[in-house]
Amino acid sequence: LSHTLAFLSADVQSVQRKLWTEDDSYFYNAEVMSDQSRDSLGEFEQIVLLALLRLGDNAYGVPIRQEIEDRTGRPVSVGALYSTLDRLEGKGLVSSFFSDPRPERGGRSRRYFRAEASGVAALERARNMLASMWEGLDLTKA
Amino acid sequence: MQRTPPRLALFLLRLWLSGPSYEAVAGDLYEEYQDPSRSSSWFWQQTFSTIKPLWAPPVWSAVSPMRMVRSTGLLTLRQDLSYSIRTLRKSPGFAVIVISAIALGIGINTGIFSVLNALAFRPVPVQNPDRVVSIYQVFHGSVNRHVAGTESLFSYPELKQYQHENQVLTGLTAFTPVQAALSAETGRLIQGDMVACNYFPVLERQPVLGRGFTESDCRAERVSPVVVLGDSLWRSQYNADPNILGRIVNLNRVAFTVIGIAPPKFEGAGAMTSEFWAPLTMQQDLRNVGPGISFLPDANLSWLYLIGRLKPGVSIDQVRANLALTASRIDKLYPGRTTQLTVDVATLFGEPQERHELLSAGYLILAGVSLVLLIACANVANLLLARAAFRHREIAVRLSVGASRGRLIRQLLTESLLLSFTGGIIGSALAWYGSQAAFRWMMNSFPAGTIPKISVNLRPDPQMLLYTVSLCVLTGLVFGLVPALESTRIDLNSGLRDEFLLAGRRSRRWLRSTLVGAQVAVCLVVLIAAGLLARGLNAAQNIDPGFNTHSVLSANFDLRREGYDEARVSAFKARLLERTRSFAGDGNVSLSAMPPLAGMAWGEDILPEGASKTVLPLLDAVSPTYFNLLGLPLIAGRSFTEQEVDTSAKVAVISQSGARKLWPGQNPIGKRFRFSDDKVYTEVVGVAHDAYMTNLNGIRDLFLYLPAKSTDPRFSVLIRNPDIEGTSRLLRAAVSAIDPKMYFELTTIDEYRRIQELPSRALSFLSLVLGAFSLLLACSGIYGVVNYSANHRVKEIGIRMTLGAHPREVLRMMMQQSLRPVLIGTLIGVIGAAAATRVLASVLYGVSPFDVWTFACVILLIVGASFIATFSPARRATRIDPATALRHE
Repeated sequence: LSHTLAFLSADVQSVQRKLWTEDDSYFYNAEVMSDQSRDSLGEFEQIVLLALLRLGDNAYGVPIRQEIEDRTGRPVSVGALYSTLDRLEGKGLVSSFFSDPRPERGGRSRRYFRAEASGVAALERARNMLASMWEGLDLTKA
Repeated sequence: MQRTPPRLALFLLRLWLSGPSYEAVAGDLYEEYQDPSRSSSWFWQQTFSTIKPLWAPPVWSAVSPMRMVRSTGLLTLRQDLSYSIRTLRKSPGFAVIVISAIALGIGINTGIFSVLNALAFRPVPVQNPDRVVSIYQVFHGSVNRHVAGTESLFSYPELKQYQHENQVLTGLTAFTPVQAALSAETGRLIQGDMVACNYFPVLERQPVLGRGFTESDCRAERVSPVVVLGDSLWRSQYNADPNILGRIVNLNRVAFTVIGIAPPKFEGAGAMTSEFWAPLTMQQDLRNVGPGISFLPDANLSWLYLIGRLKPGVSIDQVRANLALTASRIDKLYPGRTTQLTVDVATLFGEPQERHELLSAGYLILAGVSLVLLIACANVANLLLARAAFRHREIAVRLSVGASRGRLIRQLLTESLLLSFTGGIIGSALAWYGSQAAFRWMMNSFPAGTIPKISVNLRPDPQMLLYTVSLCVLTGLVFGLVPALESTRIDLNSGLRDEFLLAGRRSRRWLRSTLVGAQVAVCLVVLIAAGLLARGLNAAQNIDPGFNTHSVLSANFDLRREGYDEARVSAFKARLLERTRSFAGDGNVSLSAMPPLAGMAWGEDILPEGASKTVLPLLDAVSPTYFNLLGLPLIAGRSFTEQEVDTSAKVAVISQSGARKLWPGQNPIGKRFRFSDDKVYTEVVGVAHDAYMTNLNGIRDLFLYLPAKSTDPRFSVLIRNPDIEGTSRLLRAAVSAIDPKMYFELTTIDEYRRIQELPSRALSFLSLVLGAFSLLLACSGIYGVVNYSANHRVKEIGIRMTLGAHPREVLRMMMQQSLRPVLIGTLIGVIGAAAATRVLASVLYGVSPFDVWTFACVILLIVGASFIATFSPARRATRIDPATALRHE
């Protein structure tokens, strides 16, 4: 019996691992992706970083979204904005700090963001990368 | 003034986001929401866009509690869920039975709660309602207060003083409900509020068209006959006419100018639906209690509901403390009196007395429906235990390959919670539709004009959600925990073989019997309550009110509402009586101050001659034909004469037990008494049989009938005629011939009687449904247990029969073992019912809460039903062929 059990348990374990990886693959890919993108910036990440630079000292959630919406004409949800900002902060490209509580926010603080030097450098790289891809290219002929 | 975003949305954000993320996101949304163009649906959209990525990992990388859950628990939760769904799919019959039992149990529960919530807990529908408080006062000590409404209301000078002295409210306003005849257009009675002139600003609900009231509307009495119409009245009566401002509307035949239209769906801050608003200073015209009588100067008159809005940063406790100062200052003017203020977030039923009555009735019903939910839980627990027997092998295998017991219990609980939540969702959906339909049915079953219109908001809100979710969790745990604990306690050695089935675990059998016993006990309580209520209703329908209620039409007039003076009142009455007598016959028409059994009462202190203490009788003012018309026998003496009525003679007819109370052992005819504010004595000329004049709850022993005065502006005309329809038509024609704009209510005494019976009718209907449902559940539970043991004791029974047991003996054994928990449950249930049914006494109309007949019938019913549920599976057990049984493995 113990023999059978040992076999059974191995089987169950392998099944469980399979289940696990199936469930986890989503995660895993995402992690890998963000690893790959450590050095290069996505389009929206660039937009957000540029908005931070434009706003300077007044860069917190509300004006950032306003700025992006005004300039790109694209609505930006709070969720999307903060997930990007958090990701950028995780990469060390931006930093954030909280203000004092404010009455117009129901007694909540503002979270101000600032682009770090590495963020500016990443923007620079992204622009150069794109510019070199554009170089000598004429869309009208393509 | 700041706009507060949907609280539920903020709550969800807080749940999903970590502290700092929440601070930033909620703060941003709050700040942007201050822009009036942002709707609450925008806010919800943003909320979902924020939390959506967290449902489906992994985009969001902020540190949030959900992330931690995700890394540890969420995966197993997902596994458990998908596993549960798969197992339940394999036994759809089981899932359907469990889910429908739970859906019904939770559905009835949430349905009742949603009505209670709408009436007693939901804040009034104004802007930022959680900052709006209602204020009531309760007096202690020696109180001599004038009351128009209930005692806990305020007077106009008190309102002024509170407005002037408080430092904690941005505004304090007042309203008082009033009914007015919309006379010129239709003979329609509409409900509205007379309000202080800062009413709309304090509630932050400005009229959408035109303006609200200004201080100049309230500067003096009767200076500003202006009215703001409700949206629904404007649409239904005036076809949403955009040019209505400045138009004249006649309320109680006084011309009012329309100055505004209230926002859609705004129906006032009180329980009664308001269709119009007018300044308090128009009280003499709208609530005319007599020529020249004004409520405004009387500092000791309760008639105003007070509501106020908190200043930012001020807590309700600070308001209580601040307003109490004013209350104690007012108390100084009334030695011996202390006032206690009740300040709470304003709800539809805030008045302390009403609220107390509503809540005690509501909690009682909730307790009843929770009992039924409990039965459903016990039933489901039983089913789960039975299922556990079939799954023991699966569980044994999982335990032996290394699954921890905790992990398995979690898996089983996930399954229970999945069942309870599915049931809960279906049940809540049913409850939502059901409670709306039920409330409408309740309101429609009252004839128009007999009770004020109440509209409630039954839409789900955070409280409702919280209630339902906790109910689901609780239900899932209650029915899932014991089976989960029990079925994972397996001896692996025997568990992996099939011996388990054979042994029929003693502890589990005991557990299942206990569950059956508990079900029977609870079911008995519910059924006895249902039986008592049904008997009570029956008794109410058979109560002899002491007079003949059939074929009596009652037309109720309030001529003060029509702006009549005394001379016009008596002229109108004389002409109306003349006309009605001409088509109904002299003896079939009578006057009274109020219709019998309408739940209305009027009382004044009297002092019998020679006595030193006053007593309070109930009174009615009637014409000579009254007793004859109602078939109310006079035991001694006589009725009034026409002449006594015409001259308002000081004579009275007294009720039988009233006479016995005032003058025991003496002949009451010729005895005298006087009203405490009257010098002249009134003489008793007749004694009437006792009767239920006000309602069916009991006879007021001391009842006095006085001659009807021709100048009383409020009166009812009673007409006896079997042809109700025809008489109504003739009466309407007669009234409109005299005054075509007159508004009056036309009902029958039988109709009033039906209204009296309505609460007990609704309660007994509800409890009968619940009783039937719980009996069904209990019986299916018993059947399940017996069936289970019959199936799983095949081998044992086979051995018994091989050894010579007679089928009859086997049957007896099976029946005995199965019925024992039923009998024990019955015993406990009887004791429980005896303790519980006392609270029903007030709606039982004379049936004793310990009514032997009901108890006996219900016990017989339960035992009989259990017997039937036991018999067929038990008999099946006796038909076992011993040879097959022994091979059974």
